[in-house]
Amino acid sequence: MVADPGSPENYMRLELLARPENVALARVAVAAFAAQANFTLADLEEIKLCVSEAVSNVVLHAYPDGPGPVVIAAYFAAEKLVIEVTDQGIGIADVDKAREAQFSTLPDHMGLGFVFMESFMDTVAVDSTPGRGTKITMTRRLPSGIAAGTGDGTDRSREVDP
Amino acid sequence: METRLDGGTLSVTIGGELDLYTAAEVADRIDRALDDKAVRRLDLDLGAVSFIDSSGLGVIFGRYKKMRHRGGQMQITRVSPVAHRVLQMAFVDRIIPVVGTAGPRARAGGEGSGHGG
Repeated sequence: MVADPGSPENYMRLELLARPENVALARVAVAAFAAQANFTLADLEEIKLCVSEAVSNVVLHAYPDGPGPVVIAAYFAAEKLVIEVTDQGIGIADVDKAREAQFSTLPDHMGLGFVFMESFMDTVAVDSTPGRGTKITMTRRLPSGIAAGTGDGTDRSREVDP
Repeated sequence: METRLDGGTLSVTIGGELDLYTAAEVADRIDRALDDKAVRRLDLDLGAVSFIDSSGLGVIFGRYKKMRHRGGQMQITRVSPVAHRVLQMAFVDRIIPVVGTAGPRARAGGEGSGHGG
């Protein structure tokens, strides 16, 4: 389900039922993982927002017949934080349309999920097969100078605002 | 979350995380308060919001549309820095007047919203 990340310096993988109450757990887990790199608190807020959008999309759209699994994976590789959000839901028929600002199939939703992801991440890729599921892969460059997950024991702040 | 009705003004204070999970209840509670047709103005205090995403923005913007539809007004009387940033990103702050930021509770003042439609 989740592609082989090669030899990541560190990774996490979390499987959840795609329900609204689990969205917070997903974003907080990824933010805590990302905090191993020297991201600022503002960076971590942005990462949380992007995970929230990606997982909310799964909850809202992937499983119209009742919640199914969503896998949230993150890893550090090649000076990047990579975040993957994968479901086995109905897929997205028209990915280009789904990524447009203001496009939403639901009332009271502003169609901003992808806008936020694309604003705060360096890359956002959508791989979707109707009937099989969707995988969102987002990457964000690590803060320069400090490698992530090296376990060098330096006393960096790991403060995450939950 | 607190709601208070004072004359024709409904004041709503939202704290904590405003996401897909919490948004539904917030929308529902505001909408129930808006069943009172005497409400002409909605003041939203987001000063204690620690997280907001597009689902949270959807609730806010949805209430704005409701208020406009009934010929009323809506403004944001306080907003936390983290919520303010997201509002700005989505240009929501250009549509819904933000009359105060986090800090001392702002008394919702001026008329000059420019959205009297």
